[in-house]
Amino acid sequence: MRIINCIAFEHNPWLVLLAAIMCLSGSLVSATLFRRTLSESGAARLHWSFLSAVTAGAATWATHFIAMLGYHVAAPVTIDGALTVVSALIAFVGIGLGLVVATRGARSAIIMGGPIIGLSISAMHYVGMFAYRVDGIVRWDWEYVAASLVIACALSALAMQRLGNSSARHSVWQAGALLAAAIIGLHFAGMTAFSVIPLKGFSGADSDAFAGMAAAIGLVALLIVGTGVSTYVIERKTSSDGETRIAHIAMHDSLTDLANRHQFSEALQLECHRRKQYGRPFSLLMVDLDRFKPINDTLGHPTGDIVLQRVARRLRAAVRSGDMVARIGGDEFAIISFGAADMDTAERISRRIVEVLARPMVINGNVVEVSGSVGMALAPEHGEEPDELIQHVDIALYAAKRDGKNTFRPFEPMLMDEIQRRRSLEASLRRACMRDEFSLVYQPVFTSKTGKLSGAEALLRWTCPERGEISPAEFIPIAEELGLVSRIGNDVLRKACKDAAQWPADIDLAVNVSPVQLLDPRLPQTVSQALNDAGLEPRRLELEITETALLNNDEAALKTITRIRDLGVRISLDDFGTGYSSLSYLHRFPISRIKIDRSFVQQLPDDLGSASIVRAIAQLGGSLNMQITAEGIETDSQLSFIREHGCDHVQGFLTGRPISAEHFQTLAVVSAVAA
Amino acid sequence: MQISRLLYTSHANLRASGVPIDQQVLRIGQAAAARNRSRQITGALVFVEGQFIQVLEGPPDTVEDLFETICCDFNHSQVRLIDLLSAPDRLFADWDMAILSAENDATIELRNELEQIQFMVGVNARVAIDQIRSTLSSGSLERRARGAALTA
Repeated sequence: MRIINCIAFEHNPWLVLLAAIMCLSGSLVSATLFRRTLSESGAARLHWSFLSAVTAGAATWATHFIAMLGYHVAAPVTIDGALTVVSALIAFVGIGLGLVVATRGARSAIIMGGPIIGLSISAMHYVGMFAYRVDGIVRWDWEYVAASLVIACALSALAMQRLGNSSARHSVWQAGALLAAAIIGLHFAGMTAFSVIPLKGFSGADSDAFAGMAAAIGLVALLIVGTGVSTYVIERKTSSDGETRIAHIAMHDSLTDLANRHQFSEALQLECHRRKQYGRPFSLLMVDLDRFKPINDTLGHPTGDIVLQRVARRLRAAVRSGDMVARIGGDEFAIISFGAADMDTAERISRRIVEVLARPMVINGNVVEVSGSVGMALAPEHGEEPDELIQHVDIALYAAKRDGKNTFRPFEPMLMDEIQRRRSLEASLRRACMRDEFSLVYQPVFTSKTGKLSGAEALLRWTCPERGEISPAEFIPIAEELGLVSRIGNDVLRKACKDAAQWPADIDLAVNVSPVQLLDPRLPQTVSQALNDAGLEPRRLELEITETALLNNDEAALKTITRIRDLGVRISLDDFGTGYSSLSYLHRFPISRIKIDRSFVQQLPDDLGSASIVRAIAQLGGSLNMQITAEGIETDSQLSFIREHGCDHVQGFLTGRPISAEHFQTLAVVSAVAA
Repeated sequence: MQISRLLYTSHANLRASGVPIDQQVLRIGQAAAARNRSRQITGALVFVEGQFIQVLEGPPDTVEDLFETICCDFNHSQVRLIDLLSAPDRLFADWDMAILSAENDATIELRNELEQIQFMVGVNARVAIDQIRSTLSSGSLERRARGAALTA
């Protein structure tokens, strides 16, 4: 009751209000700084303790002086400068000490830190009161003094407890309010304990000077609090800028500044979730560059990096605004087209992507041609879960790559079966290599003039236990990709040589050699080994190669082929006329035979173009001293055309289908007897 | 200092708006000319039968950047880089971006000349560039093109 009296009648209400505002704002700032201090460790903790102590000390000190300005006393007042400064120092040092103690743990914050802060505020107040010289008899009511100390310590301890419990919401506000309550409670309880009986006749104290000084002190204190606030704000801003930057780095690809795989996965997850909740569809596109590796290999990684940056920029230009473009692998990009519900929209975007990536790039004077393939999948049509969508869009991308690249393909369930078939073919093929499921058949080759059997071409057959006969056209490319083709090819060579060693000595053997085998410098060794093991004369063996094998590595190929020729084995050029048919190959490589591709032979004799090509190749062979074989003879008229135009040998369904080793053996023996 | 000279062709995807094609081409060229002035790019833009044929010349890096920007643009398609060479001097030093259009108000002579240039681009790019240059400097151009050629 006396406290309320004291506030209501002995104080100027405006200045009390000002003191209250000062106190409340100061306390909030202090609480914020305290919390910051408590969360720090190491040297930063001391700096923050200092900053908080100065700010909080100044705030309480200013509150004290502004409130004292509002205190009515019917006697002149003066102030002791030295003690006033001491009171301020007590506030700074005491609060600082309290904070340092409080940072040692939650318990010591409440038991020790809070009370130390409460006591320092009290000490500041009472030392300040000693500095307050009033012309009169001063009386202290010790009960209220004790009460003021209890209030200050208890409320400070509570404030520290709130701050220690930082997970609670509004803890800073609560702590600020408690601190303010501690300061105000202390002040007015303390002022209630204080009473003055004015002495008449004594004078000399100057109340005006006191007012001026108090105002100056209050102002300085305000400036200090302001400095504390702005320091905190700046620090907060810098650290949140730093956090934003770190978050950006974590979520973005540093090279292209696109979203990275991590952010893409999160966005896809979120979008799938949203779709289920709100039903908003979207499409997922997967982009893969078609010729990135060769660029990296030939122009270097720095150029490759520039290519990726430009691809990123082009992709951003191609998609709709708001779509997410992410780089999820070396040269692999993903796009989430939000709200793109139908295949038309996805196709429109994909068409733009394919178009823009096919445009040339000029990098440091080099013209770089890349292109991209795009796979498309729609949610929910092609999947509802991220994993499913990614799996399906990958399949669509695979289809785009398979269909010649530089194009886009939607996901289709049918593709799943195809991939499935391919996967199981891969597995079967690996097993076939181990279990020796391959067999050889032999297609007879005849001398066209006499019709006499002159040799056979060994052809590979694979009978898969699950699927039956599988055409080489289907499994050879897979074997090449799996790196099995050399092994299969070498087996073929060995087996064929063994079979041929059983044939009459004038029957030759032709074996196909794949481009991959030709790249292997050990091939001549393998050939001579096979010949030795079988006991077959080298002159009876002919290896068939295709132009594609010579195309890129012709130096290495030339070396290998020459070494094989030196063994006494002949080389023939298969499928002639379908590839580049560069005449320089015929001249540079030790080729002894040209095999005219079946596609020309089959159009004989009516197609004039094919007829003249066949004629020209036959003449070329004659003048270069090479033998000519026509493949794929199916009709009598084809056979007679070939005979007329000087092809040395013929091979085809008309003259003889491929037959098993045993049947061919019989055929060879019979024809030798007949001759 | 060596400059780069680049020639490319593309097909215009001009919008079917009320604005006549000639005007749209003119606007594209004027915008390019305004941009080029500060970037030390000079050159010429030919528009014939829906096709753009553009020559850009300037510092190599700037030409590369500009061409990359052009490649990010969807107002045209089938962008084909025809020629890129390094040269000691500019051929189009007097034009930020000269515009030669075979549209509406072009004379028959100009149209023929531009069609010839279009043909030549596919055969010999350097000769085509020279032809563009000589079409620009032929004295009677102003009269024949009646404003279709803009010199900035």
